[in-house]
Amino acid sequence: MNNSLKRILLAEDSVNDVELTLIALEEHHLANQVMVVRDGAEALDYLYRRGAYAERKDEQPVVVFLDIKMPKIDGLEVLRIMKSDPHLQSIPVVMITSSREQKDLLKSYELGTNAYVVKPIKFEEFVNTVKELGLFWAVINEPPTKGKPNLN
Amino acid sequence: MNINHDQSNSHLRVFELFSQVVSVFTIIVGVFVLIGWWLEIEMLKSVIAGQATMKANAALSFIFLGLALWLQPNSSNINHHIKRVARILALAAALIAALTLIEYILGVDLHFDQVLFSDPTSATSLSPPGRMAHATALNILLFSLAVWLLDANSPRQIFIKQLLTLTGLLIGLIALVGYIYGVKELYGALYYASVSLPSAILFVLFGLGVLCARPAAGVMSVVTDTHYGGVMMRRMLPLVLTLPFIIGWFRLKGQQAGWYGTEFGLACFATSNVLVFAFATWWSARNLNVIDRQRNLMAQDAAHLAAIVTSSEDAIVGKNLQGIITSWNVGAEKIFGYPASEMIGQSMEKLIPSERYNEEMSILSQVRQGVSVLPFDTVRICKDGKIIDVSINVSATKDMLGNIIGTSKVARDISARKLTERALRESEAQFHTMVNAMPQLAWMAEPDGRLFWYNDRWFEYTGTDSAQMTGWGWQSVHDPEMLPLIVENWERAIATQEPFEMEFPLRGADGSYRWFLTRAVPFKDTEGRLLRWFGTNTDVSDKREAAKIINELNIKLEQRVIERTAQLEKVNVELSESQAELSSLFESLPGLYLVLTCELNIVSVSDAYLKATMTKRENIIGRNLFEVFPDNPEDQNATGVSNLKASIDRVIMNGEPDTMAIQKYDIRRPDGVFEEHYWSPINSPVFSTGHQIKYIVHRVEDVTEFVLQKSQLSKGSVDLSAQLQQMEAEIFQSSQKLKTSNQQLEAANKELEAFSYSVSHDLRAPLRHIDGFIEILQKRNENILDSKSQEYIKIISNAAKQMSQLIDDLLSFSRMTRTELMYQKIDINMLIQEFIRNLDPVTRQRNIIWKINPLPHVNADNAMMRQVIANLLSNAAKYTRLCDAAEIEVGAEVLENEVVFHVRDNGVGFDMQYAEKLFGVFQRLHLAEDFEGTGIGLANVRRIIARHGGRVWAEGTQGKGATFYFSLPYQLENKNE
Repeated sequence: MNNSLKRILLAEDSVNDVELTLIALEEHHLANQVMVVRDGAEALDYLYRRGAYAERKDEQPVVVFLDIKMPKIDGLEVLRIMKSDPHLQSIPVVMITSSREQKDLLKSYELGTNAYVVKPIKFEEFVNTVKELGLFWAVINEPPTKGKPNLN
Repeated sequence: MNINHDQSNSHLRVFELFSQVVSVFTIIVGVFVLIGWWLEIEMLKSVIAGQATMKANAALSFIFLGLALWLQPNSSNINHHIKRVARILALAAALIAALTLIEYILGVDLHFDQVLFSDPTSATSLSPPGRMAHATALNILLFSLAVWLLDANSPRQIFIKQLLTLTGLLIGLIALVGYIYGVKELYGALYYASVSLPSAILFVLFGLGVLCARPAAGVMSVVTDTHYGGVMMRRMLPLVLTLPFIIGWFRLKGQQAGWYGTEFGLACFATSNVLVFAFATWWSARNLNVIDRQRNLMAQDAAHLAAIVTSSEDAIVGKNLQGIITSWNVGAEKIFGYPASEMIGQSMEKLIPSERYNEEMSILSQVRQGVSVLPFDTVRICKDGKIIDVSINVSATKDMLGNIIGTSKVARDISARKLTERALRESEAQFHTMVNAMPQLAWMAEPDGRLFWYNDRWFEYTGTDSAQMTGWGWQSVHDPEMLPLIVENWERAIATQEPFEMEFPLRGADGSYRWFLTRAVPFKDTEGRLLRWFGTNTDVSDKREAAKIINELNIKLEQRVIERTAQLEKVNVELSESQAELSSLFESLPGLYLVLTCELNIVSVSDAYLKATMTKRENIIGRNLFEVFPDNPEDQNATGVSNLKASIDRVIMNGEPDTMAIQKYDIRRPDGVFEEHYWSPINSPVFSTGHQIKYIVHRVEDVTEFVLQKSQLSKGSVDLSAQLQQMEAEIFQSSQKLKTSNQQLEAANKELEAFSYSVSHDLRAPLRHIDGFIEILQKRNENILDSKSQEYIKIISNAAKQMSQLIDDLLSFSRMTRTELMYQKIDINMLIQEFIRNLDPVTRQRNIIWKINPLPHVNADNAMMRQVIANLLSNAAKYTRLCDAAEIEVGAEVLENEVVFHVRDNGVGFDMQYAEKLFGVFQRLHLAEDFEGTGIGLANVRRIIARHGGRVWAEGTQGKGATFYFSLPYQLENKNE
């Protein structure tokens, strides 16, 4: 699994969820490719290479996992900004949330998310879901934007 | 001249080979003679016993000469040292000969004659023993010098060399002739010694050998010349050299035999010679004539070829192997535009488009390697920059000897041909595109009717291929019943060459037939000869079908027109009846109505109006309002007409009813006197369908009496208005309160929504964490944890799951209050059947008797009612779990304004004292260990029924079962169904 250039951006405010996600990804040795940001603003800083990430030189992530409920800027807003930016709209986005609200799901698909996953309470299911997503986007699927948007 | 290089070389090599053979022969003879001397064998010394012997010194000299010649073959790369050795050998032979001659001339004996061998036998001869003859010595000296000069370069040296050789040859020949003819004088010249027979033979051969050693030099060049002079020479020379001797020999032998005398012999000899040489000359002349004639022909051919090249329309260009142009004909000038003067000595470069340079290079290299180049098409640039298509034929040009010296290139301008080809291809492509693009099937047939071509549509439709279809194969896709008629018509068309047209079915790839209109037109050339048939099949199935349908529709339509006309007539009658009714209705209205056009002409009037105004209908209909009702001319203040006009103008302008102030308008009685009257008129517009004002309804009320009494009434009305104002204020206040509480309610709703959203997200997260981490904990410590700890972990996990279930239920409960109801007609029976059908397997296997009585349809929200039924029935199933024979009964009773449903079971029941608690949120009457559940189901049922405007209640006895009731409002229309 030689994918050192392929990266997963995980935007998640709950430290416990971060931990669980990383453990799940660890099962497939993908954890060291995960970039964790703790709110929507940081996620956007990372994607736009600004603020703390102004010096970032590596490629854009191959997939972005977004929690919906986050401080500062929520996941739906990050999704909206990404999908309306021609440089970022081709990066697959997966909404991962504990919300079962219909309106969140509808809103996410309206904004163009690539997948919507309700975090299962059952840990085993969560592992499988994240594993599938992680495997699918980071390993199996070739990113459509390989080496493309260079915002510098 | 068909002598090529190889033949020419081999021809020279024959001479050189002869020279080499001679040199070897000379060496061998010399060696044999020395052996003869050594072993005293006379045969070897003189060939014929008793004759002169070849002396040992002569033999040695011959060996030297032979070696010297043998070492110098005609080749440019002879080793320098070998050449030197050869020359030293020649000089050695010359030295021996010279010393021998000195002995003869000075009469001294230098005592080297018998150095090799003693010579006792030659005591009889005139020369001292062992010494070679003086002629022999001289000849050896001559040949030695000739060999020494073998590779001389200057003409003079070549002349000397050949003079020496020819002299030696002549001397040898004389000696040889002497032996042949038995003339002692000839080989024993100058009395002293005689040239031995082997020496004589060797001299002749060696002389020829020296000449042949360098066959291209001096006199030999004439002999070896490849031209016909050389050929002649080579043919004649052996004859000239040998014949006279042979004839002479025969003459001599005849004379010696005494057959004839000297005179006769000489005559014979002369005659023979004349004959032979005359024949030889004649033969040569004949050959020369043939050759000359050939040459003339060739010259003519060459001139002819040149003329062809010059006058050719094709460009014929000669080039050398470096690609430089050596010839350029008129055709080339015509095609490329460059005159010969500009092109000869140049390369082809400027004619060739840069991308085709490689092509030219590869051709040159192929030609150089002797590979023949196939004709090819390419493009060239003309002087005027035009690019033309050319066809090029390249061949190698060879010289007489067959060496490739260049290329000849014939280029033909094929632009016109290419253009025609392209046009043809395009038109063919167009034709194919067209016939394949058109929706019809298309085909072509020979004049005799055999079909030889079909378009793609034909094959697509019939599912056949061209092999099946060629000739008369098309018959296979026809309806066998129709086929004889089709064939008959087609054959008639072929015979008369008239266009063919017929409708018949064709079988498609799926085996079904569709109808096609088939047309075939004969295609003739300008002279009217039939070339082929061109045919199309147009699918007319749909058209036929459509025509059939249209026909049916037409019939139906006609029927309907008749029916509708009858209906219309009936309606018309009804309408006119109702119009009359309406008219009389209007006229008998109790109010005072006048219907006016916009021009204020009276259209209609109510009887009451006529009565009030003391007029008659027939007198006013169709007349102008003001003409009928003018102002009272005696009343100077009358404003009736102008006010009414203004009001009607407002109606027309605004399109809205206009109420006029009370109007004094006096009425003229039939007797002409005006009566004082007061009116309260209102004018209303009547719109046509196009929203145009069509009529104006003028309604009036006669308020004459009221106006005359109004001063007395004014005081009472003040009290009334005060009361009214107070009431209005109260209403305003209470509506404000309502508005405020509405806003509060809305805010609370929003808050609740935000709260439940937050519950959904935030309450769930910690549970997920508990579950997740406890699972990791268990996984990582599976081997360490004892069974008790494992159990605790399971309990934590289950607790988290239960909590999650509670949250879900709570959320669905809260959602229930927020979701809008969607009323529709619902069959409760269906909902129950659906529930039973989808029971979980465990429940299904239980012994439950379902008693479902017929239930009425209700008007309610389907999703919510499904939840009510599911909750009540699953509760009933759950609480009858402990019964051996569970019985669940559902029924309904229709009352005056509502319908009451009940669900009855014979399960564990409940204490009536807690009946109200049943429906509270999270309220339970049983332990979770006994009966699982969160206590939200019945709370939901109550909410839903309440929202539908119904009630819920329950009756039960501990251990005897329970009955749950719910009612729904029941409307009259439901009862009818």
